[in-house]
Amino acid sequence: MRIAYSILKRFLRGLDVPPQELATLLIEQGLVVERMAHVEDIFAFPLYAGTLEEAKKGFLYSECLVKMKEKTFPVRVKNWGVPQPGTRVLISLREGTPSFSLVAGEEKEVLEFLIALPDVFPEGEDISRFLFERDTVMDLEITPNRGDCLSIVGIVRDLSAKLDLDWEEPGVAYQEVEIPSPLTLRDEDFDLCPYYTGKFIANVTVKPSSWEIVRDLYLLGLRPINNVVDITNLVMMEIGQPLHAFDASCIKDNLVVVRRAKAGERIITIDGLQRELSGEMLVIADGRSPIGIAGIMGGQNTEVSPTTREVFLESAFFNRVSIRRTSRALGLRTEASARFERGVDPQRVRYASERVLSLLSQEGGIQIAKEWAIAGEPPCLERTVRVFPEKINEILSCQVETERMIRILERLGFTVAARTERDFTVKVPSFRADVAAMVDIAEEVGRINGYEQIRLSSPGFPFDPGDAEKNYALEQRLRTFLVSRGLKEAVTLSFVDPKTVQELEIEAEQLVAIKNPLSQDQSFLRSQILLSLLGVLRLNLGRGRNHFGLFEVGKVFYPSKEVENPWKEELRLGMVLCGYLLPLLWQKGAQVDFFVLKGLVEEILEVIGVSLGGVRFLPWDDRIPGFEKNVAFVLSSSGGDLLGWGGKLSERTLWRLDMRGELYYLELRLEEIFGLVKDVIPAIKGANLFPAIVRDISVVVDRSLSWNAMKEKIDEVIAKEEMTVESVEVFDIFEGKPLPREKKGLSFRCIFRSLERTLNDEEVDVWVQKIKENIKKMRGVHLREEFVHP
Amino acid sequence: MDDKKMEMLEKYFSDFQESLAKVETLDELNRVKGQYLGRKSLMGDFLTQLRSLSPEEKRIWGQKLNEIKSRMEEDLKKKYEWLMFEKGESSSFIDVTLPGRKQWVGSFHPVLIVRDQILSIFQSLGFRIESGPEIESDFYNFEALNIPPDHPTRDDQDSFYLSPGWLLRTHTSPGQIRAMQKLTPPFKVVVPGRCYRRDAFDATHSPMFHQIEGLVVAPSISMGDLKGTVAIFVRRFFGLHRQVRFRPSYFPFTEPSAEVDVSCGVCQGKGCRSCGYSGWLEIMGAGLVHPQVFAKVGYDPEQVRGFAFGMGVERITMLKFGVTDIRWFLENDVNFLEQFKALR
Repeated sequence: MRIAYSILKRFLRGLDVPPQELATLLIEQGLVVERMAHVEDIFAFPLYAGTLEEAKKGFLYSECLVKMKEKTFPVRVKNWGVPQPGTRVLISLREGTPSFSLVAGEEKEVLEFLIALPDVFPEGEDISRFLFERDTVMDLEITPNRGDCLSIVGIVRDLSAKLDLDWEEPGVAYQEVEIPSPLTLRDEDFDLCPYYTGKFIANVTVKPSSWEIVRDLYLLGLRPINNVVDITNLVMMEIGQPLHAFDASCIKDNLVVVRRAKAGERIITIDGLQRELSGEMLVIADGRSPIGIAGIMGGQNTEVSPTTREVFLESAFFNRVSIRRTSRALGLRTEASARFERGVDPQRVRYASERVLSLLSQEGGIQIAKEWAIAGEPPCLERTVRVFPEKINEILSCQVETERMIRILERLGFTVAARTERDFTVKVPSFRADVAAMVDIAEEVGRINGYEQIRLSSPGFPFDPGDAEKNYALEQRLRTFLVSRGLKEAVTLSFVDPKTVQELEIEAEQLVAIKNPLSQDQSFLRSQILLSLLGVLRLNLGRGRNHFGLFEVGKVFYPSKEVENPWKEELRLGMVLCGYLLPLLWQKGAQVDFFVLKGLVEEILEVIGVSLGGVRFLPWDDRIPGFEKNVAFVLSSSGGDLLGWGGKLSERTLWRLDMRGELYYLELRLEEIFGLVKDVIPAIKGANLFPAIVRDISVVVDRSLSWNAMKEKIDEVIAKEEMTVESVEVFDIFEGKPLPREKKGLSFRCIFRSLERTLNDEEVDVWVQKIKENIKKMRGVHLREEFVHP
Repeated sequence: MDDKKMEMLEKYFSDFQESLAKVETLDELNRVKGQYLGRKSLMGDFLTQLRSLSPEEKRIWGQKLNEIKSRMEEDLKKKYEWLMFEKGESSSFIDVTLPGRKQWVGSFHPVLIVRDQILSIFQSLGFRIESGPEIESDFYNFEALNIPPDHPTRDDQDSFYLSPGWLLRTHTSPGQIRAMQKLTPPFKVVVPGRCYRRDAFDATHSPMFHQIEGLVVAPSISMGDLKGTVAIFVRRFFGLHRQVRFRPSYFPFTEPSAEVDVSCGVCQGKGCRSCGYSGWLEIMGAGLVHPQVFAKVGYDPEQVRGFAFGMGVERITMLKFGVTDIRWFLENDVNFLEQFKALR
């Protein structure tokens, strides 16, 4: 809502706060000033008065000459918009180029009209100051609950409470005559239009508006059209009630019907566009077709034009939800729809018409029919609220005297209906549909009294916040660990491109689709973090950043079969590694490989407290697409639950997504993994001081034999013989000559240590022998010392 | 002669030990070594004289000389080691100005750094951390928050729908409802999380962003409690010299409602480009919980009151670090992220 300081001052006579301070006051009472500007910054200043010397009337337009001292400027103006020769007209002159509008860039080849000025202005002088003084305009952001403030009087009323100033509502004065109104009104949809009024006006002369109205409209951010339309617009800005003027002679069958549109009905609105209507939309129609979309925009077929002689003036109260839905469905937002949507004052519907009639009467000549066309009645929104001042002060942490509260409320339009020692009852004005309870009154008092008056305090009550939820704490520990290991944390959009989904060969049915995405490439929710991180990878590789690790902890989404909640979300870790772990510089960096990735997984599990004995790394089983077949693993719990997967991203996938390189990726299902974390504190023992005995065992095995298979065999005999083994670790894997191609050498180190005593070599020798014997039982396993080269 | 010789040898050895005891540097050690074991030393003379002795004498004296010589060598070695390790007299050289074998340095995401900082401030004020789903029902996201269908507020919170009645949450305020259903008053909670609105990307808008919601419910909560709590937060997060301004606003789920501004850190409230010449920066919406919201979760509005607040983490991160484009947060260029490596 745009408002000018001069207009506020016209209503609030005692206003002596300068514009800048006024803006602060407005903000402090909840009317946000989004923008402030001096008139000279928004209009085509400087402005001059010229004189219309002559006008040669053509068929459609006149060739006019406007004189300004020694210069004359030719201009084409539509015939209806040409004032009497000799009239002063407005010119803005920039670098010798004249413009006949107030707004720069609005010039047209043929002007609608010249803006006529009063004769008092001297020709050729800079009259900007006379016309606008040093006015300031402000754009106010009005919150959805304050439809009443989409009007001058609404803002004035609010300010009058803050500044404690008197003001008056604009007056009504017009004459009616005994002429018959030819039109019949029929309201067929009282639910969408509870109250409709119409007035018939004859003998209308449509002409350009007077300078005063033109100026006010421009100050309020509107464009002048013609006197009839301008006055309805001005009154809408003044009191917030939108009105519409129909050319009565164009209304067919002399019938005005308020009804729902018929399916397939169309209307060309005054902006020249054809609109398709649906059965939910309310229209104003004549005997044959719609002549306006109720509360939003009128139809071209009944638009007031220079030839209009009879006007049907509409002022009504429409259902706000209906207006909002229609406006959204048509994508048509207007000054009128914005006001109806938020609710207009039902008690001011007829008054608005009377204001229009008063202003039109001032132009003389019109005949206003005595009879009103009325359907329905203004809905009664009146209610009362009982107010306990003590409670208001308690809520607001303020100390406002009851007298002051009442004064504030009265200034805002409330009236005190009853009063006792402890409380009073106020009648809520019809324009404040948002006020229904005492908290609403508290806000009114608080906002006018000023939020800066609120005294600071602290909520004081016993409350144990408890620990953060287990999963939250584990997530924090995981993030901290990964950052300390040199990875960068990412946050990516949860939306993914169906194309990426397709490239990864994920079935679209496993994904959640957004019904109304912003764009096609953001139309699905991710089912894997990978889908998001691939984009980050591509961006970084494309910018030549080749050595890094990135991770994201976030949700993935998929459909579920539950009726209660058809969508599932799951917390995941996504992690990607590429390039060198160490900077290259002068020493050889270690390239990221499969075992770096796997090592990180093991570290993650250890750090958050999952025993490695409780999980299994299984070879790739084609379950999750996108990875290189033999360089990927699936992580599962010993119970067989899927915990995650990782490995080298397949070159084929990367190539399809326009990337290259050795990229390693991991995705963990965090809720499953966190579920494995036990809450028990481990029993802590003192450090073991008994010496260890170390034995290395070397074997030659088939290339395909996994360490895991061998380890199981070793663990088996260790358990059976109750050996006290501290660890068994692989330390060397050897392939190639002199071994045959299908074999590999494998060496592992066993560390024996007892918790109770010093072991002796003899018993360890026996154990080592038993281990050797047990693994020899496996197919294709030979002790290195016994292996006979073929 | 034998005795005399033996006396000389012993004197020679004790002199050596005495000299060695005084050695403090490698140079001195080399001098002592030369003096007592070099070719021109007395030991050299002894060895020369050995040739002129009878075989029997040669065997005895040879043995004796060797024993003394190896004892001296051992002492020299011990002294050398002492000098090397105890005194740190190292002979090897490394170029300490070469770069170290540095691993990658990681970094937290700026938005989550700020989220965690905010959460830890509220944790220290006794708030409990709660969470909620990102896919919400219309009930939690709108209706329970006093936003019925066709409410104009829904215009500003244009939502992504998954199916009728299911959407991506447009704010963390559904967390208020979930917290009230889960806990028994009095309580204080904060709910962080991702939110989604159908806003096209530009420098200050993103269809996905983070919010932190706060909710305190107790019998006698007032606007003063809200303002006091927010003031502490602003001082702790932005610094002591920053001012807080409360101004009236509107949210369907709070009454009275307030918008909270913090004085601009660039111009200290005088007005500059970064604050749009107003001197203030909007950081959160807040207010007392609307009685209708209490009614929706079955609380008696006559018995309890509450305050709630909600803030956009990206916006606050931009203010904190002077980031001018919200899109950088979701781009995740490692070069951008690297700048936050020293922050937590």
